[in-house]
Amino acid sequence: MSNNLGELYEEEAIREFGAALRRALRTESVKDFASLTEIDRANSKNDLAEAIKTFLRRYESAASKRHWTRPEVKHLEQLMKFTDKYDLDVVKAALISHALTKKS
Amino acid sequence: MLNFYVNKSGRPIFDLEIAYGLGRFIYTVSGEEGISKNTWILDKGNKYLIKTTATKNEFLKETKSDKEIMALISDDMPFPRKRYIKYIQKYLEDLLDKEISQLLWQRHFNGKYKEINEKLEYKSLYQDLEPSGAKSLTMPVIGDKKYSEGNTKKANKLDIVLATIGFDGFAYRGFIGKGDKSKQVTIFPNPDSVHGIRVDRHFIIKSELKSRWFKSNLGVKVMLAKALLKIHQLLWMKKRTDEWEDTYNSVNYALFEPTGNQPKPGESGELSINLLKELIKTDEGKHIFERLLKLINQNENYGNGELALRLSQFIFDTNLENWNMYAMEHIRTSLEPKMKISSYKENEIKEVLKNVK
Repeated sequence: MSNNLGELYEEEAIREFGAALRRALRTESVKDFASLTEIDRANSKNDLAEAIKTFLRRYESAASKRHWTRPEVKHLEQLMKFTDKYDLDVVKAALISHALTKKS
Repeated sequence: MLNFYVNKSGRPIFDLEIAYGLGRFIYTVSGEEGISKNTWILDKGNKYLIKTTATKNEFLKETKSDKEIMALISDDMPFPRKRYIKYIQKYLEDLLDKEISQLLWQRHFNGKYKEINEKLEYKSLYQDLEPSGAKSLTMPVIGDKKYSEGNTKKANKLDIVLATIGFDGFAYRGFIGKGDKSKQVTIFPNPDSVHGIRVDRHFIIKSELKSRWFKSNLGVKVMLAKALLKIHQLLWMKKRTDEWEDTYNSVNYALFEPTGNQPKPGESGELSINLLKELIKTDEGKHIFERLLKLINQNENYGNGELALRLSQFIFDTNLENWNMYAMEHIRTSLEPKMKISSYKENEIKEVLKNVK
């Protein structure tokens, strides 16, 4: 298990999901803080998969109205693979950290 | 190059003050007018190393007059209890009569600690120099039938004088809260083991900082974070403009609680500043220090104090748990309609995350 948060932060799948999370948080009429909390509280790989699933459902409804890009299936697969390679807390922190940046 | 050593005795702040004091003494007495000898202080684990470009002759012949050496303990030094200063100035006068440079040479260069210590008078160790010197902390009183204030800890005159010279030259001061009830904090950055700190450069940093006093209403860690961020902002600049390699490794601090009479020691300890030490090496460091300071200042008084607290906690203990706690608070605060808080740039956050353990 690796703990390198800096390395994981730059992975493509994390960037894609992080950007989607940031968009959903920063858009005034969406402000999806609930998904962020669910991701933060996930205690197992299954919990995280469930939280991501819920997030994608909410994201889809907002994205369809606003022409936002969506994370692709390959990104989802890659994200789940990271939970085997990295500590779960590191994966969660990498996703959440993207919400602290300016770039969308 | 001459190497002097100060053995650590288990009194962390006092030991550090002695090392800084010896460094400042060597720097002051060895140089001719206008040409000071470079002197570094390094933390080598179980001892401090003070290395200097001065020669044995230059050190022992003391180019400075007794009056100039006496000026190493100034009347307006920021001691919590100023009335002790005159006693310590008297100790220094006595040591000048005993040829202080000879004593220091034998004790700290040749390592004849025991031999020299036996020649020296022992006096009370003031709590201003070392919090564990406070009487009430020296023995347990719970369960005793009779109340006792405990015994005073002792230290020899030479150590007390050196520690005071170190304190006067190198300590930063901070305040928690406002007015008469404010708590006073002594701040001592600790040099690293590789580059250490050059004595004259510490003075440059101190003089270039706009204020020698740091304040916070939120607590010690927030105040320390602000102080260390400002110091590292300057170090970052100096590293690039003047190629300084000087590095601090941690910060020692001691808090004094106000009472009706004299201040009493509160919490004290040593905090790692590994994150700041690493950020100094990066090009983004300058912007990150600015960002972190801005976030603390924005939220300390008018915004979300919890954010400033969590960020300060993360700065001194850069683990994943602290990062998560801070990040969630940052995001929560940024979603508040009236809160305009600073966001990171991609490059900045990458550098910070590289250091999360």
